[in-house]
Amino acid sequence: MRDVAVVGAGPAGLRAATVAARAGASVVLVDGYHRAGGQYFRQPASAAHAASPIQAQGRRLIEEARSAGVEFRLGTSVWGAEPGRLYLSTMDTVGFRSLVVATGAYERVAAFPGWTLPGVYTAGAVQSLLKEHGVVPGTRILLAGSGPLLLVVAAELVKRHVPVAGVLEATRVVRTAARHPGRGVAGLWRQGERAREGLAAAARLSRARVPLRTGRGVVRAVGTTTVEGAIVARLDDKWRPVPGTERLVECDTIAIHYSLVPATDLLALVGATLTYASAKGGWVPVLTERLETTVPGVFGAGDCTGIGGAGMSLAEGELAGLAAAGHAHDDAVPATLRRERRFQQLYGALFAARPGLADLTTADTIVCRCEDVPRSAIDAAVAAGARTPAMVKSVTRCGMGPCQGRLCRPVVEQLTGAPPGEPPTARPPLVPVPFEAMRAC
Amino acid sequence: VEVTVDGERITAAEGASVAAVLLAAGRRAWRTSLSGQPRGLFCGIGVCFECVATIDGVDGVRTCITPVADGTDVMTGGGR
Repeated sequence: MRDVAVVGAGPAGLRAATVAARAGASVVLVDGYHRAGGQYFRQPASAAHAASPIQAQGRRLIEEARSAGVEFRLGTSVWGAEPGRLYLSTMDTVGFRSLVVATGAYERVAAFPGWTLPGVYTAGAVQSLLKEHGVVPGTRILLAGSGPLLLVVAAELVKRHVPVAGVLEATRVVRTAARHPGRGVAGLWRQGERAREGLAAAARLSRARVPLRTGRGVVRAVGTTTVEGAIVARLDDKWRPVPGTERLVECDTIAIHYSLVPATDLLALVGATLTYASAKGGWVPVLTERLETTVPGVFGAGDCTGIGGAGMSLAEGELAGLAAAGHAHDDAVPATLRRERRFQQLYGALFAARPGLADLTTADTIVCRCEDVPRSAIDAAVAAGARTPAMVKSVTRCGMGPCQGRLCRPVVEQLTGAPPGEPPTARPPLVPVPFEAMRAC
Repeated sequence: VEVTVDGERITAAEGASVAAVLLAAGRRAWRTSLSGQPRGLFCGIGVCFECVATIDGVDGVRTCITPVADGTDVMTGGGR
């Protein structure tokens, strides 16, 4: 039995574990990956790749957690939970008094013709190959979708002299920011460091003559057994492709990324109430000021509670870690967290999913990659009365495979009618585990 | 370290993910989907299960989040 269990060793989880341990709690930190850091602080696989400043910052946070006495359980996935106990893929369980869920986020993807071809990756996959392994997965790479990660990954590729065919941002960023109530461009200005990072990335791309276009997206991956090119088109304000604007872009690799979706499956499994907040990335837990969910003793921190980035995750991790350790703190929201929440509003206004995300599919486009379910099967289910992703799943098997609908859900939500609908539910095992793991518990 | 991919010996960096080793060896697809399409790495962070292979005799292991060690045996082409 530990005082505090933290799930997820990214910015929020590392910070929560450290402050809870420093407050005197016994703390276990569980993460499915073999190295701590999560996506943002992803550590190099070997000393052969030089660590970036962000990776160095991550290493410091990991060392702080270790010297605070946090017990690390890496390479360990949580597949089940009951009050006061987590079930682990290592065929054992861990008991806790308080739980901090810091499971982060994953990328939202669009389903478009050809998107299942080898050579189409998420931008995050390309980034992790670069940052962790120094592997470049293609010779000419097109990036498309929505969100600052596209710029970051493109700049990283240019730095390594990899030809970038272009960066297509679906949202007309400047126009949308200018319309954002009250804050808009002024809000961006106050994001000193982040704005500088974005501008530096854009400048690097411009020096390398990489085309950077807004209001455009990829509508088809060309090829039979691997990517041989991409058809791109203009998109309207709802991200719907504008007919007649298609053109071919030469590339052998396509990296897509339509911002991020909070990873809420563990929160749903423990019974925390979720609510739909489009500007925060989708379904998020209902939280008190001290970041407690509707389940007493279960706290949420970081991107799994709404997309906000590393700065917000660190601030929330600190708050949740102290609360989980039973440490009293005054109720005032810290100034750093207030500033991060203003940024979250702007980020949400710019990169929240638009309904056109589902309009890139044609009848025979596979929407559910696990079960190879085409759009036509989902349309037929909807025409027959399916109103929610759960109903579509029971008729078509869409979302029934090992990814448990994590990838297809944003598109299926658009096809079944406007979200919110019903919140996603989760059942054990959250990840496939050997039968022995269940028997051992 | 030395690993075996479908019976062939490959030299890899210790701690590299199995997916990174496969990609560095020039392979993009190492599995077929239910309807017979070629598939390989997609999300890169353990969410989508597209990149699975049989590793040291265990089926359905996510190659993107599994590091190699000396002697790791990878068999591709399996189901999941």
